[in-house]
Amino acid sequence: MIKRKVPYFLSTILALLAVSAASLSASTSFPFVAYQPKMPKSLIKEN
Amino acid sequence: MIDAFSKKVTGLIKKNLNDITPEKEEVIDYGIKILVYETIVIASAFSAALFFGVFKYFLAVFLIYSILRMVEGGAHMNSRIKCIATYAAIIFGSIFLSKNIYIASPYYSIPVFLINFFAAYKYAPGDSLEKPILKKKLKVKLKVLSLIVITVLSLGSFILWYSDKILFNAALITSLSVTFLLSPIGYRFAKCQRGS
Repeated sequence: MIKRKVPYFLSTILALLAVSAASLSASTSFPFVAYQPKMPKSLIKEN
Repeated sequence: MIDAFSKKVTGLIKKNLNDITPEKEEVIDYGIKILVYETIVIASAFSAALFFGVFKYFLAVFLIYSILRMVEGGAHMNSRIKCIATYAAIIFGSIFLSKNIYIASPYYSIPVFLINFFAAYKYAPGDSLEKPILKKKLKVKLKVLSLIVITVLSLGSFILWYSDKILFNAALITSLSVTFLLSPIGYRFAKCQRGS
């Protein structure tokens, strides 16, 4: 049970962090360092 | 390497969470790419600043640069190596210059303020083909925020001249470097194209 819950919990945290970073990028000029990976089309629509 | 790593992490997340659509997967992959790269660059810069004993000035330059770039945007390099080199040159170059020049009066911040304000008014927010800003509402919001941040920073740096001249220099030089990356010359220098 615990063995199954740890990866689920970690994946949820990582997914939340990644989605927050992507959302911040869609609503501001983040990332501020001088490299910009290609933004997904679904986020460009929101932008 | 970062792209492969983020793809692997996204794959693991997808495996452990059931409701990840291909669209969500793309967003997660993009977010992880940003998080991993920003963390590497920022952690390296913080370590270098501690090593060289310039942490106080680094923190000031880092905060000014980050906040201005968040709202103003500007040109991005086309590779991660060029990005690290430019970022290090701007951050540590600004610290080096700030420590080695003497500006005799706080009134010199006025022409710098005018240059920054005019550039932000005309060009902010600076986007790129990789990440275009299409919505007019967002553009106006970021432009207004840029003008507010520049005004507050200029007022703050004017006062700073009386207490810490190096911080005053750092505020001026860093804001000019962000203005450079926002200008058409900065875009040509980075070989970057505007997205809208």
